[in-house]
Amino acid sequence: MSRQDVQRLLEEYQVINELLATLQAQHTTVSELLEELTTALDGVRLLKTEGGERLVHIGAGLFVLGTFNAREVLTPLGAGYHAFLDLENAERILKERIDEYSKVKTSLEENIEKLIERAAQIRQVLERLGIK
Amino acid sequence: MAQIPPSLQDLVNRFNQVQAQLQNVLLRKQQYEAELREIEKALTEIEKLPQDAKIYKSVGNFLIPQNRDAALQELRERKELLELHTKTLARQESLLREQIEKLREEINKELSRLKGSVETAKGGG
Repeated sequence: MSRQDVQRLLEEYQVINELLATLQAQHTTVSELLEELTTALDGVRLLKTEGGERLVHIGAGLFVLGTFNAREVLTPLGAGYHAFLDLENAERILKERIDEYSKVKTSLEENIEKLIERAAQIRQVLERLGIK
Repeated sequence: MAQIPPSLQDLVNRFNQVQAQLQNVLLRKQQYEAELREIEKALTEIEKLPQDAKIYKSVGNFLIPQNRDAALQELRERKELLELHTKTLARQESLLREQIEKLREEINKELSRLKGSVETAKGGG
């Protein structure tokens, strides 16, 4: 293997690591978004169940007791627009968003996997050549 | 280390310049397309709503009430504008890709020519 080939591998390894860092940051963002959407979906489903008091988290582990009679929620529709939607439609929109972001997350995971594999291959070659 | 001839250096510089322009165009196109998808989503949802639906538009930290027709008109106008931008950028993209291909061919020709002259010099030596 020529010096040029080694140089090329080192450059590729560096590019892969930079790309991995970017994709992993995106993965974290998407995961957090999904978590938030899932929490919202749970909230909407909870509102759909009839009557009774609810304990509502107000932060730092504090809860207040309350009753809800909300039949509509102000829902983001996209592009900065919101509208009061009934709970069924709010749930539908949240499910669509969750589905959309889940696909993005899966795609990111597949790409991250491929890059990790390629980085491992390059690392093996470089280690065999005694380059750390 | 052999010096890169100015003619080749010039081609490489132009190649890098066009490549950077293409990256910029692709990034902007991607941003517009993402916004378009978002607008289409909003349009689909607002069109389903009744005429008297309570719609709000996000302006900074405020939610401003807006009627359905005004919201639809605003979104359609924005969509039209973004589609125009996207088409323009798509045209720019294909032109830049053509330029990149031409420059790549020219660089390869120049490299072959240089390789040939180096080998001739070696043979003559």
